[in-house]
Amino acid sequence: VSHVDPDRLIVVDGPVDTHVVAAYERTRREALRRGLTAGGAVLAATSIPLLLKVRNAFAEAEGDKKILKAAIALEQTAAFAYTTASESPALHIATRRIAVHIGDQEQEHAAGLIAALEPLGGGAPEAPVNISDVAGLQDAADDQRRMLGFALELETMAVAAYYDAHRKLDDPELLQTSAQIMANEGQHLVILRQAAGREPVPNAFETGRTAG
Amino acid sequence: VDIDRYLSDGRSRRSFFGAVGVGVAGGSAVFLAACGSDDSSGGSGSQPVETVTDDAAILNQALALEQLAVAAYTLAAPMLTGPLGFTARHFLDQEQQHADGLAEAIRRLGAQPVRARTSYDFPSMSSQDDVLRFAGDIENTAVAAYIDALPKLQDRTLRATVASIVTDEAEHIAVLLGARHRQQAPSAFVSGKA
Repeated sequence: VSHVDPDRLIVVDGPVDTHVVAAYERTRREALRRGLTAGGAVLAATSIPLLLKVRNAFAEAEGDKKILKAAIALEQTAAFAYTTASESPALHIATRRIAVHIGDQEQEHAAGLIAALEPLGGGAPEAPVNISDVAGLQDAADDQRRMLGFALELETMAVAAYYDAHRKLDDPELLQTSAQIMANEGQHLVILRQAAGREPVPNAFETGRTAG
Repeated sequence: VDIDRYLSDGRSRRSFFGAVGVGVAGGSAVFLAACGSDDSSGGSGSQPVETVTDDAAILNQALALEQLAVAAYTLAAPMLTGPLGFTARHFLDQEQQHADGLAEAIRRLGAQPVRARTSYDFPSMSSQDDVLRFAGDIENTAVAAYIDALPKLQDRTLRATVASIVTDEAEHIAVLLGARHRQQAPSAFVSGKA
């Protein structure tokens, strides 16, 4: 067990590449410095690369087509993660019900974004097929607290990614669709925060720069 | 007007939101150029927002709606007991933060923020459920109006800020729905069209 940051980031299942942790920590520390974090998350070490990938996919994308592809990959990953959680006997039945509902909505996001990508001539990225395709998911799905922490981080990163996308998207309809999805991810955060016993709406401006 | 009639009668909602410069039709909402201030100094003309390209004008219309939300939660908080009262005060504080942020952005654009109206013609409410439904209606209307306005903003940073406000309003909706034992995230695409 290693504690990268005893107040915020707790790595529970052993070592991970130092540079990956360092990169993740830069994101976390930026939020901490700005006083925006609220509540720590328990993460599996292997989930850090996934969350970094989610956070950076939008940040690196330029142009509506690339942003859409990044968003589709994110939604497909989220849908797969929630489907896996919904089938995990290790989780409380209430958590599994939440996972079914949120997973269905992530799938709707993916389908809507794929439909928006088609006129732009792009093919959708491949969706995860096996649990090993999503780093850290197996560990998270085996533990109620870790799964909630994993989902909270995933949704927070998704909100941050869509927030960033609003500075880059050009198409008016895509802007509106992105806002509608970001708002829904915010509602997922409310459900997950309440399930985790946290303040459901801690920030007046939901930018995804906050944990919780 | 009582809350049931207000929510079911399109004319009542049009009149209520029209007073703060928001046009509602069916489930959609749009910022209109006529602002909600009693003082017309912050107004931006008589054209609908579709033809307004000035970011400050759009933000002023959003500010008028946030001022309405602040007034609504100020009214609602004492009518709600226990945790719901705390929630209403918390949301009131967040709506005020939106209003303050919008006013600051308007000033940075060199324009004058609208002043809040001195009174609003709220529907009559007699139960906690009435208050929760009314708050939900305001939040949904705000989400719809913001999403309509989003692509009209020229400043890309302002677009992101508006998206962060939309997401906060959607979170309020989720909490309000939960308080009424309803599905908290009923739609994968939150349009504000309740």
